[in-house]
Amino acid sequence: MSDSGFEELVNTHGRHVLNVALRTVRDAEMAQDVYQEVFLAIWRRWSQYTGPVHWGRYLYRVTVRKALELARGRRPAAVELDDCEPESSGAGPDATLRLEDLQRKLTESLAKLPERQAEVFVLSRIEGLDHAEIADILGCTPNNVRVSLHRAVKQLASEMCDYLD
Amino acid sequence: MVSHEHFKDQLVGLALGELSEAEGSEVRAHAMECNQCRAELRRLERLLECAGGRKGMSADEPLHASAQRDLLAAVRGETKPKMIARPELRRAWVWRRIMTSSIAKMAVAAAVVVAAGLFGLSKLPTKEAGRSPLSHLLSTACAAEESLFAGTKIVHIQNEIIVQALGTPESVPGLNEVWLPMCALKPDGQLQFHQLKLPAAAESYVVTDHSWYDPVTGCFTRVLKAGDAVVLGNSYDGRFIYDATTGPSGVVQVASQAIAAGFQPPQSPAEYLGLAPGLKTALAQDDSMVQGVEQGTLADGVAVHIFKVGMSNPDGQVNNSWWLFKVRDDDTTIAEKEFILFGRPRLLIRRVLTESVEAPGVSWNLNELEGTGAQAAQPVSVTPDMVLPSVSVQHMVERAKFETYVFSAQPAWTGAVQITDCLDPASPGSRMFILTARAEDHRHLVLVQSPTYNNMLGPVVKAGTLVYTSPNGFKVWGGGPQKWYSQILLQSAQWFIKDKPSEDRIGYVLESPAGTFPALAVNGPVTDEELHKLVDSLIPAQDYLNAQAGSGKGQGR
Repeated sequence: MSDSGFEELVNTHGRHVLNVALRTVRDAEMAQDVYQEVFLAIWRRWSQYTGPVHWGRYLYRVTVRKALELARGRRPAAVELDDCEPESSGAGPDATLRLEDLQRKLTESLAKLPERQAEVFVLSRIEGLDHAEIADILGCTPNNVRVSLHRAVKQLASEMCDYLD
Repeated sequence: MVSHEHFKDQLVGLALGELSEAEGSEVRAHAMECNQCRAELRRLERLLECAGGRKGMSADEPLHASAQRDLLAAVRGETKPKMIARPELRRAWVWRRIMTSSIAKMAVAAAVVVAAGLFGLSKLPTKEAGRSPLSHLLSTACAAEESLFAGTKIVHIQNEIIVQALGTPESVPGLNEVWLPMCALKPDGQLQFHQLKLPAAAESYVVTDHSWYDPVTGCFTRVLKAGDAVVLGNSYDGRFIYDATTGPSGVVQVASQAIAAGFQPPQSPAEYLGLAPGLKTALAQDDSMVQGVEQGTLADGVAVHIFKVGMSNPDGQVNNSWWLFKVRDDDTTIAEKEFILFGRPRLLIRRVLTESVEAPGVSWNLNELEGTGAQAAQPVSVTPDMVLPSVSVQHMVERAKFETYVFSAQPAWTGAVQITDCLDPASPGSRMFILTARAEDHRHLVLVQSPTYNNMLGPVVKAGTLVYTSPNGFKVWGGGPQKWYSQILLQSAQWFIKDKPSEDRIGYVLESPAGTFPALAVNGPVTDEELHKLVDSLIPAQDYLNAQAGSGKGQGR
C-alpha cells in the first residue's frame, strides 16, 4: 500500500477515530493522543496490510481499546481541575458542575472495568451500536455482548454510586 | 410470590430497555413500592443518561485539523510523535480547546450581524483622519470600485462566485455550506440583506453574478444564476423595484413595487453591486479589521496586493474566518475576494468582465426572467432578510424558537431599546435577536439572544465568575473573555449604536431561568447597582406582551 493510501485512510476515517476517542475519554488532548497512537501503529505496519481490511470495524475496536488504555494510565482527574475552577462560584454547586463531575467519574470508572466490559459499554451506550454490531467488531457472540453489558452497567452503577444519588 | 431479589436482578434489563412491556411494568411497579430498588433504578437510569449524553460529542474542526497535522508531520518524520501529554496541564488545555470551539461558533453567529455592517447596513461618514495605512490603501480600492460605475454608458459587470470543493462532509457549522450576504435594493431606497446559501460539494461550482447599471438614470439590473437557474434578481427601472425569486416549483416569479416617496438609493452603486458592497462603510467603522497585506499575483500574472480583513479573537489573532481582498496594482480595482474559513478557501469571488454596453442583457424590469425555470446542479438558495432592524417584541416572540427576554423598563442610562432580528448562521434555520439601546454617555447596551449562544456559552460561563444572582432567577457571569465577546456584541450593533467599542467596555453572560444564555455588553463601565437593576428588569418577552396588552406601549415597536 502507498503512502497516499495511508493519507487517504486518515482522511476517510480520521474524524471518526477522533470522535470515538473524544466520546470515550471526554478529553480533547487525550483524544488526540489516541488518534495519533492508533494511526501511528497502523503506519508502522502499513506494508503488512496486503489484503482487504475492514477499516471501519478495525478502527472502532482499536480506538476504543486505546482510549480506555490511556484512560487507565491517567491520574485522577479531580486534581487537574484546580486551575480552572471559577474564581468564586458564590452559589454552591450547580447542575453543570455536577454533570461535569459525573462525566469525569464515568471515564474514571470505565477505566477500572474489565477490558471487554468497558469496550462493550462504550460501543453500546456511548456509540449506540446494537449487540450484533458490537459482536462483529469485538469478535464475540451477541449473547456475550449482552452479558458483558449487564455486568458493566452494574459495576459502573456501584462504582459511581455516590455521584448518581 | 416473586422475590425482591428477582426484581432487583431485573433492574438493569429494565434500564437498558430489554424487558417486555409487561415485565417492565411489573418491575417498575415493584420499584415504586421498594425504596432500595427505586433508588437503584434511578442510579442506573442516570448512569445511562450520562453515557448517552456523550453521543452528540464530536471534535471541532480545529481539533481535527491539529490532530491530522501532528499525525502526518510525525509520519513524514518532520517531528517526533507527540505522546501522552502532561497531566497537570491537561485540564487547562482542554478548557482552552472547549473555549475555542465555543467562541468559534459564537463568532460565527455574531459574524452575520458584523457582516451586515460589512455589507453596508449603516451609512457612516468616511473617516480619513487617523486611518491606518492599510485601511487607506483599501479605501483607495473602494474608490476605484466606485469609478467603475461612473461615465455615461451602461456598464456591465460579470462576477463569478466559485464555491470551492469540499472533499468530505463536515460537522462544523459553515463548512457544509457557505452563507454569503447579498444586498438588494428596496422600494424605499434602503438596502435589504439576504443570505445566499451555497452548499459545499465534492467539486467546485460557479454562481454567476451579472450587473448592468446606467449612470445616467440610476437604473440597474442584477441577476444571479447557478447554471441556468435563476437564484436571485433585483432591479430598478426608474419607477419600480423588481425582485425575481424562484418558487418551489422551480419557476421564476417577478414581483414589482413602486418606489416610495423620497426614494433615494445609496450614493454609489458600489454599495450594492460589484465586489465591495459595504467594505467602505465597514472600514469607516473599524479599520482594525484590516489585519495585514502582502504582495501576490493573480492566475493571469497580474500583480496584486492582498488585504486580509477579519475580526480578532481574544488573543489578538485573526479569527477562524477572514476575507482576502486582492487589489490590482495597475488600476487599484478589486480583482478578487476570497473567503477563508478554518484555514480553508471556501469562496472565491472574482471579476470576469467589465464592459460598456448599449443596453442591459436583462431588462430593467426583469421581464425575460418571468416564468422561466431550470434545475440547478447545486441547490443554491436564498434566505431572505438576513437582518431585520427595529422589529417588535411580538415579532421576536413569534419567530424565536426559545424563551426570549426583554427589559420590563428602559434602562436608566439609555434611550429606548430597539430589537433586531438576524439570521443565526451557526444554528441553521434559527434567528437571533439583538436588543440595543443607545446612551448619551456612550455606554450603549447590547443584549444578544441566540440559539447558538444558548448552546455554546456554557464553557464561557465556567471560565468566568458569578457576579450576581438576580431575584428573577438570572445568574450573571463576568470575567473570562468578556473583553472579546463584548467587542463582538458591540460590533454586531454598529449599525445602530454608531460608536466603536470602547476600551472600558464590559461583557456578561446571563444564565436565564429558562436555561438560555443571553450575552450582554455595555460600552463602558457600569456600577453594581446599575447592573443589578438592569438584570432585575428582565422578564420573559411573552410576559411583557401580556402586561402590555392594550397599552400600546413597549420595546421594539
